[in-house]
Parts: sequence; C-alpha cells; structure tokens
Amino acid sequence: MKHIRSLFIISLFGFLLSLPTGCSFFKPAPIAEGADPVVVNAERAQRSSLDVFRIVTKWEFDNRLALPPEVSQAVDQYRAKFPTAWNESRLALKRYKEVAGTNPNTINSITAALLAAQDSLLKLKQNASPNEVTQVTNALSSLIASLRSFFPSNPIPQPQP
Amino acid sequence: MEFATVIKALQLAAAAAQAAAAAREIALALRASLQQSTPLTPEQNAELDTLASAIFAAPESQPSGR
Repeated sequence: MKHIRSLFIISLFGFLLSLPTGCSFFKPAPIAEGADPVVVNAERAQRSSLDVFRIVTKWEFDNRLALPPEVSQAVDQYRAKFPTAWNESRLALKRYKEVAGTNPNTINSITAALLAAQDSLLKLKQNASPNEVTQVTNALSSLIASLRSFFPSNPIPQPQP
Repeated sequence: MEFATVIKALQLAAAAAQAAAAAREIALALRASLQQSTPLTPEQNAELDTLASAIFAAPESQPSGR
C-alpha cells in the first residue's frame, strides 16, 4: 500500500516538468517593449498559480476515496491558504498600478500564492519517506526555478528540505 | 488477495494515472501563461477575477473534511 502511495505522490509532482522535457518548454516570451515587466510577470504568476490550484484540487476531489487521508489533508491546507494569498496578490497588483511604482512588497505578495502551495506540499513529509520528500521537493524546486526569470532582482525562496 | 484489496489497488493506480495527466495539464497551463507579453486588458482582468471567484466557490475547492 505504501508503495502505491509513493507511486501516485511521485507521479503527481515528479512528472510536473518531465512531460514535455526541456527547459525551453518553459521559456517565457519576452516582455513587449514599453510594457511594465512587474505587471506582466505578476499576471503570469497569478494566472498559472490559479490553474495549478484548480487542477490539483480537482484531482484530489475526483480521487478522494482512493487517496490516503494525509494527501487530502495536505491539499486542504492548500485550499485554506491559496485563495486568500491569490486575492491579496491581485489587490497588491492593483495598488501597484495605482501608484505606478515598484514596491518589493508587491512581488512578495505575488509569490505568496506559490509559497502557499509549497507549504502544503511540504506537510506531506510528515508521513512520507525520505525519498518521497526528496522527489516532491525536487519537483517543486524545479517549478520555482523555472519561474526565477520572473523576478530577476527578487529571488524566489527555495523550499527547505 | 481479497476482492476489496484488488479494487483499492486499481483505484490507486487510476489516481496515479490521473496525477500524471494533471501534471501535464499543469505544465501546459504554465507554458501558456508564460506566453503573455503584455499586461492584461481591464476586461481580461475582470474575467480572471470572475474565474477565480468561480474556482474558489466550486465543490473541488472546499475542504475534504478528512
């Protein structure tokens, strides 16, 4: 049973960036000339993180009866944190547009949506083997690293093992 | 092996397969978002906020209670 649990946990996050392969798959389009990169990058992160939330919660919902409780509980942590973090990031972006200035807190608010996912995923390690923790955190690190180009002067904190 | 155990194993295998499909969907969604090169229009922002509200209110977004 534990082997099967490891299988789907690894499948969920281990395949995150393996299909399709190649760093170029996630190469962001250049920001249009004259466009504010803070706004474009923030909106990219907000759109993608919303998609991730929708897909992950739907997957857990559809397979709930087959999944161990700790997986549902980890996704519940994500459900509890993400909407607030996402809405705060949208509000921060609106405030940024109003004052037309660069505020480091704006970027911190926007990355909070992704970090909310990280926190809930790391809770899996309470009941997971060291190999599972490594694979999950490696997959999440790869995802966050692929978004590093969004914030060249504000590195996104890496998940702690 | 009991029938119930076999069914459970098949359900977990199905969940794993769906996890792989979900991971691919995430990758494609991430790639699509990275193609944005200009700020969203006010209409697009309004649509995004409306979409988020619908997602957060959906049954899939409610606590599992487990």
